[in-house]
This record gives sequence, structure tokens and C-alpha cells, in this order.
Amino acid sequence: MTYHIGSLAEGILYPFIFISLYFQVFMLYNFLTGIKRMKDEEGVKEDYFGEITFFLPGWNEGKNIVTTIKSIQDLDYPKDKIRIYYLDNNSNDDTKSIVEDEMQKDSRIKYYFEERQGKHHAMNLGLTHLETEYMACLDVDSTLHPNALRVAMQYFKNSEIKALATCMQLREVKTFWQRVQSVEYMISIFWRKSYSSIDAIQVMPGPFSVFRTEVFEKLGNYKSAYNAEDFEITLRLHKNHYKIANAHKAYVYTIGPDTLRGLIKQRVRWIRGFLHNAWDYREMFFKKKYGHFGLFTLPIAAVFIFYVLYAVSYLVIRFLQLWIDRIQIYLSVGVPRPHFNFDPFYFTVDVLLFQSIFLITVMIFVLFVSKNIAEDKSSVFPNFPIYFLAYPFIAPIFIFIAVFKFLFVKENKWVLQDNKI
Amino acid sequence: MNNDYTRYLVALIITISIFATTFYASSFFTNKKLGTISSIQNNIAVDILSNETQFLLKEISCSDDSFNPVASQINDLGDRLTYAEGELGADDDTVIYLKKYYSLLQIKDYLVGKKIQDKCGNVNKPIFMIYMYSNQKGLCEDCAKQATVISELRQTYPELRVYTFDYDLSLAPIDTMKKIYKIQATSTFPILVVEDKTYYGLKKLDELKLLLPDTLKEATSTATTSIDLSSTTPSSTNLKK
Repeated sequence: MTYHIGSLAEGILYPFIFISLYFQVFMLYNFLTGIKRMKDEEGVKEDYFGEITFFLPGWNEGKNIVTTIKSIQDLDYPKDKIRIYYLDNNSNDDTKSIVEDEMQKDSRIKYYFEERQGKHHAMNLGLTHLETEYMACLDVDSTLHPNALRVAMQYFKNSEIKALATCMQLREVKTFWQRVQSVEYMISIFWRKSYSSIDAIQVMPGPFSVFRTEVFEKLGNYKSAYNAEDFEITLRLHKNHYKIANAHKAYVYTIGPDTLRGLIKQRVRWIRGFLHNAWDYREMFFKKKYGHFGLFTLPIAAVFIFYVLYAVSYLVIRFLQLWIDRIQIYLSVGVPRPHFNFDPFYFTVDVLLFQSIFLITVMIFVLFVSKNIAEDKSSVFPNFPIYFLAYPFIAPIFIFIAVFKFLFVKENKWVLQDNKI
Repeated sequence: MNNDYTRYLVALIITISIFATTFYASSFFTNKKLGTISSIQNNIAVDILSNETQFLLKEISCSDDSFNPVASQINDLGDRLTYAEGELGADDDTVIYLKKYYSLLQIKDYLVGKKIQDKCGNVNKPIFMIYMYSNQKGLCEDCAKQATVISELRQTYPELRVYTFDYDLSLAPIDTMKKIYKIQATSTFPILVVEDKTYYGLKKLDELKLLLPDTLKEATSTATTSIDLSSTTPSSTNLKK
């Protein structure tokens, strides 16, 4: 083998590249071997309508309440089987009066006020009033497809299924950073289904998840969990061998941060929440008794955090270093401008290039499949190049901040900063 | 709980296959590039031999089309070898072999060029510059800078012929050249020989321009085209990254 690995830093990159490739192959394999199961799920008769209560936890969400409640009211589902709890988490806007107006029109709606800040407090207040067999958590900035609940509930005909993740998409794609996220959300549909095919779903999506009430009766209430209660409850479910399914046709539409600052804050909170909770549940890592979640989902997520941090930082620093050196040389010897050579001979054809081609091909395939699953009619493909170019630059930023805060800062604040819970 | 663990093995086998294929493909394309370099070297060798033969047959007319345009090919070859050295490493056996062959071609072209210059006198007179660098760590911190300067000079003065040698390359003709120009083992790098005078240490663009004879500058300013000595590639001439 004549291939020369130039430095130790580059050498360290290769195991990471291998793991990244392995992840893609493994996930593709899971998805492809799970297609029959997926088709079976899609063909199931829709004849089960369990009683369910929607939890709508929110802080100062006055402007979104009516839209969200209306999306529940418009569900293609027996009206008498649905209840709606608005869990006001110490709002100081007009939330209460808006909800009370809605209560006048729809007796299924109830309003509860929780003074203590934190989504888990609001959710636990709702649990004390919960009377139905199922509970659905729905973010107040999210809306449901009319068929979402009907599709979702059929999964619970299988008594082994205790919780259900759904299919998230972005509702509003206006800004540059929302365009980046639109691709990310779309791609996550594929990964979630792939994880689901091996019963190893990584996290219950905050915007819309459904639980059997018995989960909380047996496993206890929501925990603060470093403000990543969705991930913590997922860990708890897996730890207790509770099966989580993924209703890939139960669509929920949510809103992503519209600015880079907002996006970084959100991702720092997510990653930090992952790190803290993964550390608390570290005993699950590499344990066969926790199935593929312990053997694959948790370890690969942890590895990826450090992979992105290392690999992307390495490439960005190397690129900058190369150009800074080059410019310094030109300036120091009085040469006015650099010369470029566009001969194809000088185009570097190495392992990294082939891996990148493979990665892009897989991503495009994943995006295509996800788009079909989501029955998405928006033009998400034009956003792919900006996702692919922008992410390597922003991902190390929020991962670095999250890791730093995980190591050196105790508190994981987010409520007032994100303007949502 | 899904307990199908064979999928890990299947994914591993597929991953190893893909990984190995990418290494193979990378190696394949690198070898193709080295093949390109060899092919250029062979062409140059034929051209030099042709020039030399013409000279020996005394058929040279000193006109523009009497010579094969070897210099531009040599410069191009130098650029490609620089790239190959960066890709495969200075210690790579193939790179070392190609560099030796490249050095011999340069010396041969230098000698033939000198003979032609003697015969043709001031007509089509090229200017010869020898540049020696070292790949030894810490020995030539300024070689990358010098290469940038030389590359710029070649752009400005197409009549300038630059011959680049790795000082540490184990090759008898290079040792002979060191003796001819009295270059010591303890010399300060980079080393430049311009019009048979030896200079040590980095020469910036302005400094090096001052060392060049006025005839070269005049030839360039009047846009005289003689033997095709221009470089087709704008980047570094030397093999030092």
C-alpha cells in the first residue's frame, strides 16, 4: 500500500472515518431489512381509538395556542376520546385568557398552572390529573396532520408497545438556518425508522410523542434531567425494556430556531442534555441486556460527538493553516499574488474524497427516502448543499460549547433563552 | 427486544469492503498519476535527445522552431513531482526514483542548452538558474518561500530556465555540480546559481530580480519570443513543499 498517512493527527482521523462509514452502512442495512415491517405497519387496519389526553406544556406561547389546539380539534379521531390539558409553565403573557376562551368553546380543554419553571414540572402537574389510558405530549409551537393520531394509535394494538415516536417535519422554512434544519429534520425521519427497526430509538421527539399512562405509573414522573427530559424518559424506557415504536406516518409539524444564535443555543442544550444523561445512565453502554440501544445507539452517539469535534476541527484548522502559511509566504517574499493550477492532475484523489462521495450519496438517498416517507411536497433538495456546507462549520461550535459546559458548568438553563420549553 | 446481532457482522464486512475499495481506488489513481509523470519524463528524454542530435549534426539554425520546447515540459514535470512528493512523501521509493530521473533530465537539458547558447551566441540566449533545496528537517525553512519567488519569476521571465535539485538526492551528477559550483555541505539553504555565480540563503523577489542580467529583462520587455522556455504551470518549480 503506497498510501501515505501524513501525520498522527490525520492517522487518528481514519478510525473515526471507519466508524462513520460503519454507522451509515449499519443504518442502511437496518432500514432495508426493516422495509417489510414498515409496509406491514402502513397496511394495518385503523380500527383502534384509545382514550388519550394531549399535554400542551408552554411558557408564554399565547400566539401559538389557538393554532395548536385547532390542529388537535381537526384530528380525524373520535372527538369524545380526546382531552386537552394546557399546562401553563408560569407564563406572564395572555396565555391564560386565550386558553379560557378556547375552554368556553370546547369542554375537552382544561387549563393548569405550574409556577415552578421547567417542562418536567408542567408535565408532572398534568400527570397528576391524567385519567386516560394514553398521554400525548405536544409542543405548543407544533401542529398535527389530521391523520396523525389515528395512525399513531394503531401501534398500541400491540400491547408490548409502551411509547411511540412520530415523524417530525419543519412547518416554517423561511430563514437560511431553517433551510439547513429542514434537511436535518427530513433526514432524521430515515435514521429514526432505521433505529426503530432494531428497537433502539434514540430519543422520544419533544414535539409529539405518545405514551401509555402505565409507563409513568410504573417508572415514575418526568425528571429535570438537565432540561433534556425527553431523552431521559427514553433512557428510562429502554433501561426497563419498554418497547418504543416509530409511527413514521404520524406527521407533526414544528418550528425550528430562525437564527444561528437560537440554533446554537438549542443544540448546546440538546447535546449537553445527552452528555449529562448518558453519563447518568452510563451503565447501559455496551450492555447486551439493553439490546441495540445499549450496544449501538448510545455508544455511536457519544462517539459522534467527539468525531465531529475532532474531524471537523481538524479539517477546518488544516485548511486555514494551509492558507495562512501560503499567504504569509507570499507576503514575506514580495510576491504579489498566489497562482492557481486547475489541471485535474492536482485534484487530490484520496480515501477522504471517496468517503465524502459515499457519504453524500448515502445522504441523498436518505433524503429521497425520507421525503417519500414524509410525503413532503416542499423543495427540500435545493437546501441540501447549504446543509452540507453549513453544518461542518456550526456543528463543532455547538458541540464544543456543549462539551465545555458539560465538563465545567453545572446548570443547564434554557427556558427563558429559547423562549419555549 | 430485537436480538439479531448478526447484522453487526454483516455491516462490518460491508464497511471493510467499502473501506478497502476506497484505499484501492485511491492507490490506483495515485499510480495513474505517477504513470503520467513517467510518460512526461520519457517525452522529455526523447526531446532532449532530439535537440542533442540536432546539435551534433550541426543542423541547428538558431531559429525559433529548431528546438523542442523542453524547458516548459521540465517545469511542468517539476510541478507534478512536487505534488507527488507532497502526496506520497519525500521518502517514497517511486518519488525518489522519479526525482533522480527528473534531475538527470534537467542536467542533460542544462548541458545541451549551454552548448546551444555557445553556438547561437546572443541570439535566443536563455538565462540559466540552478536552485538547490534540502528536505532535511530544519535545514531549509525558507525553501518554500524561495520556490514561490522562483515560480513568480518564471511567470515574469519566460526565458529564464530554472533547474531544481534536491541537495540530498544520492546522485553522482548532482555531486559533480556541487563541486563545479563549490557548494559546501555546511551551506546555507536555499542555494541559487545564477549565471555561474553561487548565492546562499533566501532571495526575495526584488533581490533575485537584481541578480538577473539586464538582457533577460530587456528580452521580456520587448516580448521577444525565442525558444519556448515558458512554464505552462504557475506553481512552484522545486520539489520542496
